[in-house]
Amino acid sequence: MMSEVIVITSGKGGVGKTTTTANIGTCLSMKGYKTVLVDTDIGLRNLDVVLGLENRIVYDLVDVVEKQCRLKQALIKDKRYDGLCLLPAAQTRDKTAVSPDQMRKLTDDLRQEFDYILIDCPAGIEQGFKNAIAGADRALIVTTPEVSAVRDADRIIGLLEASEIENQMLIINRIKMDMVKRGDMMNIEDIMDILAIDLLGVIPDDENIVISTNKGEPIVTDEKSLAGQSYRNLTERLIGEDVPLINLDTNNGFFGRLKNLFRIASSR
Amino acid sequence: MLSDFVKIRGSKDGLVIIANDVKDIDSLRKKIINRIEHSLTFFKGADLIVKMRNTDIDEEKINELKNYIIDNYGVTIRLEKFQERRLKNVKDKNDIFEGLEEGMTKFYNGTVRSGQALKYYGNLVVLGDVNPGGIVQASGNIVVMGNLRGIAHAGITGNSKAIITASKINAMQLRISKLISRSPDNNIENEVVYPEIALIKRNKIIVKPLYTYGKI
Repeated sequence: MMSEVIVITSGKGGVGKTTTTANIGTCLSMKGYKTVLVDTDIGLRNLDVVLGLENRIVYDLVDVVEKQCRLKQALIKDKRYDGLCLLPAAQTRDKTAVSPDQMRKLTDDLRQEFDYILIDCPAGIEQGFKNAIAGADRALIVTTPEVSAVRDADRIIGLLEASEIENQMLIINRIKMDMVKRGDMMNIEDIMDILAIDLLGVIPDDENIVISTNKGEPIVTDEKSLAGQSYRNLTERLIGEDVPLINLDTNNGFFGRLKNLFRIASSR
Repeated sequence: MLSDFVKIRGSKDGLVIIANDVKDIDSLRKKIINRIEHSLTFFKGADLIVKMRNTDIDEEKINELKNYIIDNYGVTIRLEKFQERRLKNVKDKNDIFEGLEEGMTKFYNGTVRSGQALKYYGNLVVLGDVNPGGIVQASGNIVVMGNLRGIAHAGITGNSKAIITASKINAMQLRISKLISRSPDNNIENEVVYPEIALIKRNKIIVKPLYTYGKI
């Protein structure tokens, strides 16, 4: 199959890009796809911590780009999941150490070996963002149901459209159903009204995510967690399977409407 | 015989020669000199504008001709492109736009997202939303076929009669010419679902339902 380079971005910091990248990546490898996760947040790397691989880093992305080592030497094979690799960012440099052209060359090299290349984009719209989107075929935009996050996501979508990355899908993270019902949190329809791109999935807020990131075990491995199951469903939708929405809520009326949004998204 | 004569008009710019079907510098020279010699006293000391569609005549040769005519007849020639007449509403970016009823209009297809700025020296129609953080500016009117949530600035070159209208106005700010206004601070309960129009009345920007606009 043709390799796909997917960038996970958001604009706003702290909405769940790194957690999403780790979980989708782990889930893809569990399904048998050769997956590599690339951390482009140079200077503030987190993807290695969230995966529990920080002790195994010898070489990083900047070393590869500066030709201090071969790509294979920098890739870290996750021993728990067959087919999952990590290319960590550098911690002692900053975003100016890499250029978009270098990223394009890197993703082209990675395409030879992997089915899915997930790029964890840093927050912001400057050099880090430009580097991350350079080689991407499609984008996943992560947002939380907050006005400031949606505003930033809108900006990012505009920038992605201008860079001709037209395949864009939205992930709404950390939603709290009871707050939405009370009217204290933004409604999914309101978010879709402003952002107007296809919805890939909705992840509920879950305390277990904090525990999983601290332990370095992505939550998709937790059978009981609702967030984990949402990530698993989301990944299946990503690779093209038609997955019904899990009921995050007992009130069917709300979800009847939500289901329609998903039918539109998954029928493409 | 009549075709040998080049048309002359009086306009607010002065005397204008329309030399449309001129193919080269020699026939242009012949035409101008012909006309001038015909009424020497009339033209002497005058500024003469020559409007021609043909613009691939050599710059040098044109300057030569200009100098020749000044020296021999005391008439200064200014050459202008003929097409400019069609853009009379947008002739100069600093001029007040006069085409609010009938004028150059741009149609923009798509949503204006946060951080994007759309500017046009004419009337502007957006076929889509204007998201918060996005800004649309026009020297004429602004029409948004969608939800106006960002900032709209009409009449940017000074025309206070410009209007802003949208399927839904939820704007961060509305600006017309030099005036700026924002929605009332307590309006969360009164969300309006019909199209509205914003215009200047008695030196303030007011917003009213579009369907009553014709009956002001």
